[in-house]
Amino acid sequence: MVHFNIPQRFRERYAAIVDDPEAFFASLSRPLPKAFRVNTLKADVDKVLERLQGYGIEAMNVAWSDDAFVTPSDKTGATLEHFMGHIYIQELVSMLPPLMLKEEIKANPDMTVLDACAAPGSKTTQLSALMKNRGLIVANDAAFNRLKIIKHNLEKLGCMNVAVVNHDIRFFKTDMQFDCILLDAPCSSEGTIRKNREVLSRWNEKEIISTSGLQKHMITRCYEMLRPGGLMVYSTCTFAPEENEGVVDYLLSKSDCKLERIEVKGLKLSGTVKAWKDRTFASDVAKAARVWPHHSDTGGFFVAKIRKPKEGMS
Amino acid sequence: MKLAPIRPKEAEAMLEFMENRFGIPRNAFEGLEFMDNGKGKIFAMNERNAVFCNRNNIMSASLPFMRFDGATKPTSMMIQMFGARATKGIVHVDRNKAKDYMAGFDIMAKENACSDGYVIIKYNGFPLGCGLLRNGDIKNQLPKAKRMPVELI
Ligand SMILES: C[S@@+](CC[C@H](N)C(=O)[O-])C[C@H]1O[C@@H](n2cnc3c(N)ncnc32)[C@H](O)[C@@H]1O
Repeated sequence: MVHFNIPQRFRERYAAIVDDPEAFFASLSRPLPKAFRVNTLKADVDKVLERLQGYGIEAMNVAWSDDAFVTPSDKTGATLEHFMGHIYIQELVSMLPPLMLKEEIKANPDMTVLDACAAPGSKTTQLSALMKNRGLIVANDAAFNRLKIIKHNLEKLGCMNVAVVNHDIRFFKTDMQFDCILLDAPCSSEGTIRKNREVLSRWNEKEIISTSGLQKHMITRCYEMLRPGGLMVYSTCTFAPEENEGVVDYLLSKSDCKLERIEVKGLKLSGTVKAWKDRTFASDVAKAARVWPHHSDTGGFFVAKIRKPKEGMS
Repeated sequence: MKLAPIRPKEAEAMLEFMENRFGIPRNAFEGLEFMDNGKGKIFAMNERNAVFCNRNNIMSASLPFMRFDGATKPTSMMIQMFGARATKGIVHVDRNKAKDYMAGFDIMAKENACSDGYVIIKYNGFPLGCGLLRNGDIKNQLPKAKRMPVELI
């Protein structure tokens, strides 16, 4: 087995928490399967598939979403469907957080959502489609130079329920209370190594620790902006427990929030890390979920559903 | 920026233009609000979004709908969304011309039934975007960021 350069510290860290370290490390050197989603704001799934088939592009529906597909073809980006915004190329695990809000949308189709870290807008546009252009998504990103790409994607996909704002979410001043919040936090991106090897060459534990501090600050501010009874989805594309379980554990210790169990029919989710270094995480943290790349041939991911209790119910 | 609702008279004129030039019926835009950025650019969005964009400082809005400041120019993104309902003001193109158009080139359309002005470029049922027809030549109106080479059509 060829191992490309995986730092020794990285190996030690994750050998301790993954079920099958050899399979895990090996998976990191394999390219990621290509995936896309049909944009139901502008197109119909069956028609798109029929046309792709006509080009000789094979597309397999994943078990857990009607709109999500994997394909062996590297031509999806050169199709009329891509030009028209009928399909959007997006990694599979990146599609999970918006799906966590499906039930909430059903109960309240006109809800208000904050997408706290939205650029380039993959999850924003997906959520916009799940909401069928109803309600309101406030799409925020702190990076001014990444706003252009959100704008481009919103226009191309036909989103009419999204407003773009530019704040450091930690200091976002608003008196709005959101029904739902997506916090797809900036992270050390270890779960994207299959797509981008550079992640490993600049990998270091110091950055993990400092990012974790930033994430705790962000999740705290986001929780304040969530209305009582509302749902926040916290996600990262990294393996580091400091940025995942550690952040959720922190919020549990600082607030009245409750975690909700995550189920995605048809996708193998894994349990969380129970303890890390000298910290044993609160038992509620176990309701969050991890996706390991060697289980379903995806990128790596962490996702947690965080509920703010209704007033007077804690 | 903040967006302001356009005046009813302007909304009326815009809808009339859509009807007269493209045959797109008014009910195609039901439930949408039209908002002005103060520079003659009109955006279409749902009501919740319109209220937010009116009260808060936003960086960008979607969907850009048309220019309406003396010039009356539909956006390509609006055409992709609503152009399927058009019955006129359409220039049908073949494969090669469609590819040229998507890549950002101007195209020739000697034979078409449209009067000069903005037209919908349509290929095989797909409204690709906006063109400006003048004497049988169509100037490409796709925004730069939306242009791309397309192989499979
Ligand atoms: C993982 S990416 C988001 C990906 C996006 N949700 C999507 O699906 O396309 C994290 C984003 O957080 C933004 N960010 C970093 N620090 C931030 C802060 N303090 N406030 C708001 N956004 C921030 C970054 O600019 C980056 O675009």
